[in-house]
Amino acid sequence: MSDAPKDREIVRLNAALDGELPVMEQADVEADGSLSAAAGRLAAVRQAVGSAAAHERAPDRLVRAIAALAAAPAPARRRFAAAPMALAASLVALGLVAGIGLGRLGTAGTPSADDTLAASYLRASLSGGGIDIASSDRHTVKPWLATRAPLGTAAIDLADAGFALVGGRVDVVAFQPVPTLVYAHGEHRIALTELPLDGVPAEPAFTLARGLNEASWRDNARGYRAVSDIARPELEGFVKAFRAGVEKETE
Amino acid sequence: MAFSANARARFHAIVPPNLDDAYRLAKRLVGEAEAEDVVQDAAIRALKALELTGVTNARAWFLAIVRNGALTTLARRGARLEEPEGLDAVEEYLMDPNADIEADLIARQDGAAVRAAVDALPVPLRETLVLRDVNDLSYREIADALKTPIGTVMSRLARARAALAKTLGGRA
Repeated sequence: MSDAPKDREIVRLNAALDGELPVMEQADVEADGSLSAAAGRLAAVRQAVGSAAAHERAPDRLVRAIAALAAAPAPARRRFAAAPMALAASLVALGLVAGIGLGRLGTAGTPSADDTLAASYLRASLSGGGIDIASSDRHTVKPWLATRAPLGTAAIDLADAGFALVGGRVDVVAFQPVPTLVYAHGEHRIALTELPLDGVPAEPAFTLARGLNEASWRDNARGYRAVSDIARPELEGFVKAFRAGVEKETE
Repeated sequence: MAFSANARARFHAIVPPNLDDAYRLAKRLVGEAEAEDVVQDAAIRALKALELTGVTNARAWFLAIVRNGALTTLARRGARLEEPEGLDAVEEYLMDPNADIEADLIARQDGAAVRAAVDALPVPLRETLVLRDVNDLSYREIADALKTPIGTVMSRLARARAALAKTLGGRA
C-alpha cells in the first residue's frame, strides 16, 4: 500500500475501531473530526460483515461427522444383510479358498498385497459382510477411514455410474492398516484399497487370479488396487469411473 | 490409527465449539460446495496433531488449519492468491464528509449482498477480513494464522473494509 498520510490514517482508524491501538492513540483517532465520516462507514461495514455471517451455521451432517471423528475408538461393526449376495458367489468363493489352500499357503515369507487383499475380499464374500463402516455417505466413510489408516482415501460415490458406495473397512497389508472402500454393482461387491505408491503401475493393469478380477493403478497421490468377482469389462468400467471421479474431485 | 483418550478429549474441547466459525471461514474462502470437505479435512488434521501435542490458543490454531486447507483447495483450482496492489485511493470516498448517508445504506444491505461483496474481494483481503469481522480473532492471532506481519494484517483489513464501503455504499 502507499505511504500517503491519509492511507495511514485509515489504517489507524480501522485499528481504533477494532480496539487494537494503544490507549493514547485510540483517543487521538477518535477525537479527529476529519475521520468521523470514514469512521461511520467503516463501522457499518464491520457490523454488516459480522451480521451477514451470524446465521450461517455448520450443517448438521458436518456436526455429526465431526462428533463421530473423536467418538470412542471401538467401531460399531455393522453388517449389511447378506441376502443380496448370491449363494452361488459364496460357493464359488469356497472353492477358491480351497484352491488357495492348496496352491499358496506353502510359500514362505510375508503374504503380498495381492494375496492379502484377495483373501480379504473372499472372507467378506463368505461372511456377507466385511464392512466396518456401512454408509453410502462419503462424508461418513472418509473420516472414519482417515482416522484409522494413515493413508486418506478419495471416498467417491459412483452411484451415477452404477457403482454405489456401501461402506469401508480397514485391511491390513504387511502389518500396515490400509483403507478399503466397498462398492456395490448389482449383487457384486468391488473392494478398492489404497496402497503406498511403491511398485504400482501408472496405468491400470488388469489381472485374473484366484478367480477374481483385479486392477492396479495410481494417480499422483495414491496407489489403488481393486478386487472383484465382476467381469473384466465391468471392472474396467469401474476403474474408469473411479479415475474420472478422482480427477473431478481434484480439479 | 485409533486415537488416545487424551487426543480425543483435546479435540472435543477445541473443534466442535469452533465448528460454526470454521464453516463460515471455509465457506467464504472456497464456497458452499467444498466448505464441508475443507472443514472435515481440517478436523482430521487437528485430531492427528492433537495426538502429539496440546495447543495454547486453540481457536486461532484450528481456524489456521481450516484456512490453510482452504488455500490448498483454492490453489488447486488455480485461483489467484497474490497480494493486490494499492489502497485503491480509499480516502477519496471514505473521507468525503458529505456522504454520511452511506453508513445507513451499508447498514441496510441484506446478508446476501454483503456476503457477495465479501466473496468478490481478493483472497488475501478476504481471509483477513473474515478472520477479523466474522471469526473475531485479534490482529496478533490473524498475523500468526497467516504467517504475516501485523502491519500487513492492518493494511489488508483497511483495504478490505474500504472496498466493501465502496460497493455497499453504492459507489461501485
